Amino acid sequence: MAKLYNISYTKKIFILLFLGILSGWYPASAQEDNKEAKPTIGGIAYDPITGEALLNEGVVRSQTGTVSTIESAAIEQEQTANTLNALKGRAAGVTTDDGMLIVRGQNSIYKELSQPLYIIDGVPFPAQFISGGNTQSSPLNALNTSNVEKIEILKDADATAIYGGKGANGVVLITTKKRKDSKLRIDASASVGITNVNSWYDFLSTEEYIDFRKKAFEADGITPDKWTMTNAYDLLEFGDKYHTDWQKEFVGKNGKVSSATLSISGGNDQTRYYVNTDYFGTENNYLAEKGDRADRINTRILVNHIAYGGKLQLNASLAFNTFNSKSRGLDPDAYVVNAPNQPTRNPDGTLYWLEGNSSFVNPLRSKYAEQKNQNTTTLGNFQLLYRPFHELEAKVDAGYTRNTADQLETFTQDYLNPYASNSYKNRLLAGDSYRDIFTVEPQVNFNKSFSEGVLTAFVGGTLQTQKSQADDFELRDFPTESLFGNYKAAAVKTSVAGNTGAKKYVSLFGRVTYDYRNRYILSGTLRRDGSSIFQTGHRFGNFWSGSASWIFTQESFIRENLGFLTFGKIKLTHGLTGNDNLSAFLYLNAYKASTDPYEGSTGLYLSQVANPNFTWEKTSKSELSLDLSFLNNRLQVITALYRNQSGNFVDAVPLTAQTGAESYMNNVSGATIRNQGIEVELASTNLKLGAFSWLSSLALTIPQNNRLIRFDNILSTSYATSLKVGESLHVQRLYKFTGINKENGVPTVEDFNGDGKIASADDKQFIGDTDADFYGGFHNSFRYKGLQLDVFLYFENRPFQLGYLKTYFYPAGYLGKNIPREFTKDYWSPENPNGKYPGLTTTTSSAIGTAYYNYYTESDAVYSDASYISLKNVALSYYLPKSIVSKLKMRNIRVYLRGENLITFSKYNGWNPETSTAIPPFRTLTAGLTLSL
Amino acid sequence: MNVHKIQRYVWGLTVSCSLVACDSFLDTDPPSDLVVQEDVYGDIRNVRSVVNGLYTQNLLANGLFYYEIPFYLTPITDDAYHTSTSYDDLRYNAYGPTNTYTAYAWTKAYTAILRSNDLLELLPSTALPEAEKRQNIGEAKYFRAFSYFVLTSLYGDVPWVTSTNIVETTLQPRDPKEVVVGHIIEDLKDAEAALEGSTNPNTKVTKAAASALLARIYLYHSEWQNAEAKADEVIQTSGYSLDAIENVFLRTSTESIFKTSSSGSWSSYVDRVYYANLAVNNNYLRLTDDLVNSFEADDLRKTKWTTTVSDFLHPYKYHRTAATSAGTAEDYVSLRLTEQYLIRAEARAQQDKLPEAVADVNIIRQRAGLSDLPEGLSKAEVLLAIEQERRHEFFAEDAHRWWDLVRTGRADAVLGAYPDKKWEPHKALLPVPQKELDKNSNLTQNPGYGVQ
Repeated sequence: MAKLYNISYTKKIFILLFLGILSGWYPASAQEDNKEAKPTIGGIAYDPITGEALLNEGVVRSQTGTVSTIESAAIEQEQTANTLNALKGRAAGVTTDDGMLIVRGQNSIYKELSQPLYIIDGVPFPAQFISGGNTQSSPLNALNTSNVEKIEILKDADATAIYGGKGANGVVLITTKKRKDSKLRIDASASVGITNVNSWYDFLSTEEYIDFRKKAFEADGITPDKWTMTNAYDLLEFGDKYHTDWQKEFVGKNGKVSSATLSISGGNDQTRYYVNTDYFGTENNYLAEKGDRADRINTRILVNHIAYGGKLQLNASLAFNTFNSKSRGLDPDAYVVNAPNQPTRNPDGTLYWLEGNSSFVNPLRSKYAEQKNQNTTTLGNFQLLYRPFHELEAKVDAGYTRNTADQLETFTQDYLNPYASNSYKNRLLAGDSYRDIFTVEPQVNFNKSFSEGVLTAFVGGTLQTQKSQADDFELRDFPTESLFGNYKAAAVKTSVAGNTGAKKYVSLFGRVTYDYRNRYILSGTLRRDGSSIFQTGHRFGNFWSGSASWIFTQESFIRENLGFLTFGKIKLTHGLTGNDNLSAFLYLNAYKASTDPYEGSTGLYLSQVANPNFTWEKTSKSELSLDLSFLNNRLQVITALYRNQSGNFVDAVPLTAQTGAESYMNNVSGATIRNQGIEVELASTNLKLGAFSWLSSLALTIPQNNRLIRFDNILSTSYATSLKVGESLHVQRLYKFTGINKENGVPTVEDFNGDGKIASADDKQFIGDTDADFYGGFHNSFRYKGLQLDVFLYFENRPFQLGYLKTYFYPAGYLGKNIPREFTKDYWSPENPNGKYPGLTTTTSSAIGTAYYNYYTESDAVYSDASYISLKNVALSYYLPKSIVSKLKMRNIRVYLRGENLITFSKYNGWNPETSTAIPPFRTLTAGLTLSL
Repeated sequence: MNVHKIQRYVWGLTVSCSLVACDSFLDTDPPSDLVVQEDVYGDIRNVRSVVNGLYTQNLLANGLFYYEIPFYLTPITDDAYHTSTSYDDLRYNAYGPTNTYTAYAWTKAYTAILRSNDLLELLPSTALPEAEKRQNIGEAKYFRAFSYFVLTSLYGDVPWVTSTNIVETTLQPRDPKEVVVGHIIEDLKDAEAALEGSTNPNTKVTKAAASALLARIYLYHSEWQNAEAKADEVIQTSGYSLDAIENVFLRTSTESIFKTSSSGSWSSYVDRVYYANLAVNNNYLRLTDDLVNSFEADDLRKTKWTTTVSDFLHPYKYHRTAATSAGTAEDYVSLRLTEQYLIRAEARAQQDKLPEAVADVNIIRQRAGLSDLPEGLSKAEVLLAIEQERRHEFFAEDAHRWWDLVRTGRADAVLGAYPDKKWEPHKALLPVPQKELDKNSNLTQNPGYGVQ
């Protein structure tokens, strides 16, 4: 499927419209020859196998879709737990949100439904989370970045309309590494590294904390004789005996990362094979116990066979990826705020619990909550190509993906507070799920050259079936924890649940492109999709796109007058794509079993009232882009202006009570979400003096995304208090902070409707949204002979984000909660009446405490600027000189040192501006070696 | 090259693709945890479960059928009030269209109505034995009738919804109360006929239940003759008899015509009686001084059915608390025989059959440990005495006090006399919920409640 839009030219041209990274000049994988190279936009491209420069034979690039391509070298530099993080800042228009990739904003009110379509080597790969047990995991967990040749992100209508009813949210094409020649090659690499926290949050010490608490009691008028074990156990019981650094307890250790890859390829003129295995492992540093680690192994086998002088080609591949992890802990955020004088463990090693206090929490209890996850992915692909003559190619692609997720969570007795009445002694939650997808795609490609131009066309179809199943259950009260593996031993079995799902999909598509003299290019795409999600009669949707391009540098008057312009293309596209990312069978009335039986018999009741008429969500996309190269390809700039409008999205539409039902699924007409913005991607060869070169690339996105531009009757829907027409989907509804009362330190908020009362329904306003105003990545690469330095900066401007006080909302002076030093610098007190922060208090029932809890932390006062610049990736590599390498009978040897997330610069008042949680940014230092024979 | 050959290839592929792109390929099986309608109504075991769903979803899961009517609708009368100030708008009759408590019954009643409508639409075509089918239709109609009775008695005109086509019913306008009451009566008559010969116990809908409710409806709508005849039928033929005061709400009570079965332990929430204990837990109501003082001395109902907690008297018809287990075997009573006597009494009094009316009242009074009514009362006095008996018999049970005051037109005189209650005559009808008016422009508001 990756080649749908440019089939006929793959033999001749590597079509790389964009580069966010430099690797164009960097051979396609680190294992390649260290040939000198140039950025690939519009210029000379290199065959990644032979390293030979490819001279295009008269055709530049006529691909018309907007594609951002990220090459393996950049992807490899980002060895992360999630392949998606490798894309951050490397391509314009792409953000990650809650572990999901979002391309050009959300097209649906629900983030989960705005995920793009993933295709790995032509096989659709569902990246929607799989639910197993208590949590959800992404199938992309199982994909190693070092396995990836390139990632192409298709964004505009022209590129995505060919995916029709699945292309509304963009398409991510992942191509894994292959070899295309027959020489025997062996490549290997290994690396090791350490991970630790890249910044510590400044909290008060034990002595400072105690002092603060005393001040807070004074402020509340509670004299020491009124201190009790209920309101002051931290002073009475703990005192200054303990000095606990919770950050060090949780993330103080160093973690380790290691990786190793081995691949062998070879064959002869007819048959070629490629076998690759790839390992990536991390040893956790979060609350780690011995043996807490995550391991990923990817293994692939590819075979190609050519027959009949190249007319027939068979490609087959099988990949098997596994991801195994063992980790601790459930509430990662809570530990941060605990008081520094709170003890962690008793002298005998058991966890410390406050005697007689049933609500006391020892954050280290998370050590006794263990989580084991296993995800596997199996990808099989078979392709048959037949090219009877030059102009025609027919092929069939069959692919199979299976994702499984198994999860086990156990809580031992040590997790529980012995002074609380616990309803269980120990607990185990398990979940298993799988998802299978099988796809067949026949296709016929045709091209014909005329004297003045080239006509290409293809027609194809898709058949797809998907099946999934998830089961989960909970077991309690095993006699001992060593029996956790023996499910029969559990005394109590609860919450058994299971469900299955199936989805089918069929479509027909076609595309025609006419390229006139490589100057004017017109193309049109049509696709008709049917999905089983919808009821008969509403199953099919028609999607289409059209585009027109003008390569104006082919015009003689441009060539003569603007000689510095090596390449220039302007392109306009428009089209319609769709989305069927919904649960199945919403169009039928369905029944559920009642919770309780009546006189021993269970009941069934109508739980889902259906609307048989709902159908595809539709997104229309428009884009204008300008693609320029200057000074013989020394500088290449691609600018795109896009505007996507989604409507008709499916949502639970509320009904009147007299129907007896609350809501039903329907396409919400009269509601539109708009995503628009500017993307700029540029690459330049800044300096080339002899053996020294300096190249840069930049990807910049200036979005105005997620805007709800229309929603008729929003006030009578359940969105009335969370969304507003004209604002982003991420608009925040808050009180407006009006300062600290100078008399008493109580935070005040605006009485918006002037009725003298503060109530959320009337006084909260829509203030600000948490979207980024602009973001991007800037990569610089310096090379001198065999030595290379790459520096990659990621930046993001996000002026309004949930700040520290929004998440950790205890007032300064509260029992058992530490305060970041930042908030102790300017708090209100009688001596400091102009203080910026509210006065001290020990409780949420004082005047300050009530206002703090009900108004202050629900106002814009607790939002913070979360813009940041991060030194995301620095790598120093050395390619051993040819003389040494050939003596060792090798082709290539490289050693490197790499640092990821080394420093983050930010004004954010919390710990991690990227995630606005208490998990700090982790930095990694790795050293590695690659060899190829 | 050979254009013709190309054309044939392309055409062939297109045709095969379009043959393939046909609808039936897309037919899939539903997920296993969702039972779709065809499968439900195709298997009679599932049909029986849906019928049982009338009980599980109404009696066990819909507050309209257990404590929420007395809980919300007693304070708007002069019988009791909440101590929590959250309910002050009820206590002082300051409710308006945005009050969530007065809106409660509207939503809950229609939820129950949908269950019945669903069954009534689909039962006829199922493969159940005819007798069983008939009985189930009767049960569904009873629940529908009861729900509409609550709606009309509280809101007046309401939409008469009998279809499960939500796209249409969502915009239905209100139907006049009299029309809906006519339908209720038809439903109950059908239910009576359908339940003839049914062997249901009194924890399920029986013919007696349908008749008992019908008697009530007749009385409330001034059909005195029918009311007397129906109540008489129930008293004579149903096989129930009055029980001692302390036994009325027990599982062994002989007078329960229709009650919720509470056969499980408290922790499984099957026992709805827990919620009906209005003296403790979170549900407590305090009886008003007016009610307390209106009891005659020696009235067993005052001694047995109330309890003092911190100097205040609370209704105490059900004794189950959070701590006690299934030892005290009580069942939540929806219809009981006592009401039939008082219906017959009032119907007789309205037909000027005063001696017979007084005789019925005296039966109830004797059971409560009181002496008979004095001789020679006028019709008006007899009717007042009946109202008083009803008040003492049914306090904090369903919304009897409210129903009585409103239907007799005595609400203005009684409730208007309290200076702290903001009573106005139009408040005899509860406001149609504002949320519903916002969603359905075909609905109108009851008079006196201001701009829609």
